[in-house]
Amino acid sequence: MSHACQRTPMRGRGNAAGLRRVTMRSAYLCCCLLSLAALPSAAGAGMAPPQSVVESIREAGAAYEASRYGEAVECYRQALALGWCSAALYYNLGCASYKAGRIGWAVAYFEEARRLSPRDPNIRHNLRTVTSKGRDRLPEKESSRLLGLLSGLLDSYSPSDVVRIIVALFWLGALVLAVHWTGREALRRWSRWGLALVALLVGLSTIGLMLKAYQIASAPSGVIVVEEAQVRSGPREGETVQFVLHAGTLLHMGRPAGEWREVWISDQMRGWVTEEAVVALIKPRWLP
Amino acid sequence: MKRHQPQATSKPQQGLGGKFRLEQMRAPAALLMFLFLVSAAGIAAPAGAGEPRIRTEINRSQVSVGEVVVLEVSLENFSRRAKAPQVPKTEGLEIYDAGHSTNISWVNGKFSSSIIYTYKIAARKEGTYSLGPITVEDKGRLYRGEPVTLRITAAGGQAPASRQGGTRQSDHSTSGAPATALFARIELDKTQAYLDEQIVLRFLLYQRTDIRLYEITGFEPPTTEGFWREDLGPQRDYRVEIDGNYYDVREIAWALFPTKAGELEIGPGRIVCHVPDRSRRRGGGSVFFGGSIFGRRQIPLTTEARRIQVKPLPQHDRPEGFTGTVGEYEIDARFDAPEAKQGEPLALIVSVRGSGHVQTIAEPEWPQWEGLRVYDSGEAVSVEKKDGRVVGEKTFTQVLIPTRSGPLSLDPVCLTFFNPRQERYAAICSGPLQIDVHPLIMSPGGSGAEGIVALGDDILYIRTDLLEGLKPSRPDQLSWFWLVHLLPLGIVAGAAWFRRHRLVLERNPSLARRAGAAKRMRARLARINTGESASRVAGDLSEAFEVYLSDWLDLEVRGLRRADLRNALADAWISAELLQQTLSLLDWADEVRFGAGGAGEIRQRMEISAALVRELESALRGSALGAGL
Repeated sequence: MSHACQRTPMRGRGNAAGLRRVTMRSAYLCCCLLSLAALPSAAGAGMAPPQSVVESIREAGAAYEASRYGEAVECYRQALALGWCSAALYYNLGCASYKAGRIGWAVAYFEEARRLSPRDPNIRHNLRTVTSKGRDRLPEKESSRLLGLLSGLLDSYSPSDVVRIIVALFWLGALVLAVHWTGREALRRWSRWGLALVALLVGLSTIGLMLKAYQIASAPSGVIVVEEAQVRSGPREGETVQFVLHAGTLLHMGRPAGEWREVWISDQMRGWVTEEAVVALIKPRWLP
Repeated sequence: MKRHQPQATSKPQQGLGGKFRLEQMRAPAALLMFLFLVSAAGIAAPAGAGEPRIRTEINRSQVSVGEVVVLEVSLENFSRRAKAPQVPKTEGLEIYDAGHSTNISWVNGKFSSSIIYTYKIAARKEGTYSLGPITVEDKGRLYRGEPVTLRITAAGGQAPASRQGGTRQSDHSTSGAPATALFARIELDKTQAYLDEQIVLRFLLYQRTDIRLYEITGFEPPTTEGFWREDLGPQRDYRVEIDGNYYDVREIAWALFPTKAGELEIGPGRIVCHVPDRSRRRGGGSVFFGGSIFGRRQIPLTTEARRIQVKPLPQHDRPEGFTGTVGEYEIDARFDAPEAKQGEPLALIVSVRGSGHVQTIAEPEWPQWEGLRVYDSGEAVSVEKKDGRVVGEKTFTQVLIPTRSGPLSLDPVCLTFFNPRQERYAAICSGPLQIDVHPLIMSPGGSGAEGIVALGDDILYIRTDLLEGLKPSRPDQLSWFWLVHLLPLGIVAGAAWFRRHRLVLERNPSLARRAGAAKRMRARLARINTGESASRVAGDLSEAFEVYLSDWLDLEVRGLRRADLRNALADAWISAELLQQTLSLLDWADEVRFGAGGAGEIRQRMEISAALVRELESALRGSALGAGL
């Protein structure tokens, strides 16, 4: 039997076995690489907070239990000042602020928590409850059912979630492409469909990313934290009072001018308030 | 006097006041008159009108709260396309459109026209108001009239009058009625009334049945200064018997509402009747015209003026929340839906209906309801004429948004008004207002499942697992993030290299054989079982080397003689020592396979083979590189 003949029957058996082997190897490689992709976000989560932060949080919890809400707020803020944060920490700060009677601050903290963890039902519930206690009723924008669904979908994902999805798709796309170039013919047929699917998903995710960016750009960037804020026509005491806003009202913040800040709710309703009347919301994180 | 049932159907009101009645004229005369008027209008029209002008006139400049004034806006020399005047809305005043009339005159060859818009203004709040400017748009231009100033004083500022009931005149009394074939008169249903109380005024034209009436022109209704006047439907025609004679009666009626207290006068009404002039006809009138148009005479008729004593509303027993509503009313309140939902709007419709000055019914007193947000949603008036009087309904709508769930019981809505018939103030209230407000939370579903009632509205408790998700606020991971995510690019680059390499091997089979030769060789060596017979092991070893060398040298080594193999290896730039070792190993294998010696060296030869393959691979790869393969 010639050498070539010896190999021919083996190739038949080797094709099936080889395909299985390559598929298994590819899947294993994918898992390894995707878990590697999650490493950067896991890196921060794995760090243990220092003792001072732990103590502040424990004290805050104890103060809240004892209905000393003002003290709880200060302890939670201390943990924030030490450079540590989480959606849960902002959530607890919102709860303590609300119980302490600071509706404006409560709205601000719950809004921060929602931005970090948009699908958390407790945060959404508390934010809705606190917002409904505000005195200002802003005109609701009319929108179609489709836009409402799209807005709801975007609301349930943070910017870092969208980036995470795109990065995962980037990895997946690279792996499928590698399989397509290195795999055998049967695998290559499947990987062609895989590549098309990944390309479609990347396209959709990119559109989602752009919509999210637009949503963030057009979302309110500040909250009224004083009981009543007079919105004046200019950054001076003597200017005309255009209208009055109350604690908890979300608004857009513009340029500063000394101790004043330009704010607006709509094109018609804009003016200036003192810096102490308003607090800026933290800009959302894009990186996981 | 006997009164017959009304004949036929009602005719339009204008029928009495100067409408040209062709059916009462002979046809040729009517045609001639029509042609004459048309030609006259045709000549007059080019004479043109003057500049458009707005004139405003108000019947009283000072009234009390609850009283009504009449504003007349006269548009002179405007085109037919001119829009209705815009009277600006003013808080404290209720302004109602009371219709309009057109007046065309042709005097000394000069043509002029005017449209008079009438508005009724109910005073609701004290103060001095400047009403205007009233604007009119015509042919794209905006014209402005002079503003009107109106002063409103507190209600009931006038001295109270003695309480006297209104006296009703007997219908069709013959006393004082002229015993002529044609006469007119006015009738009032009362001569004493309270402020804003409804009075019915009738203008009656009696025509004895044996009298022929060509035409009626120049109708001037009785002047009613100091009253808000409301038409009571179209003209009524009927027949009555007076002193044995039958009369055809034409009747027009109005409802009057006094807008000020004191003695007010109903001015005389005028009308001109055209009847046949029999004396002239007998004197040789034109045969052609049949004595119809020129053989007639005009009979002007004037009614007597009447006086009405208007009493102010009584001061004593005046309730706290009274705002000037006069009449006889009933109130009703209802929700627009049988059930409500927490947080969703619900309309409460309060209807005040009855007889009286419906337009001026004041808003009822709204209670302070709890558990609701309340928004005013406006009011609507519908007026109708029934049994010769003005009746109607005014509805007030409030939008309510329940803020809590459960059965909601609201205080009734009440209205205070003055009842002139009973001469006392009255307060009426709606029935109980109850509705079930469903909670906001939806039913969990399933048959028989009940909705969960939200009893409280508080925030949820804090998190206790706070330490688990804590992260540094600004982790320095940016470079790390991008570095890690560069890896996929490396994978893609590696795959691309591998693809290219595979393509090269596919195009060059000898290179492909060489590329995998060492790997296959090692695999064969690994498969050799040293526990088997020496000849078998030597045979496998020999075959492994022969296949390996065949792959590298691109030859079939198995059939070669040792001398040819030596030459082939020498051509491949294998060192003499390595060449010798290779041939020595193959010779040993042949000796064990076909002879009897060397069986004890198997383990040693296997170790040598492994080392020899490494050296051969290195040497052959070096020689291949040197040869540019």
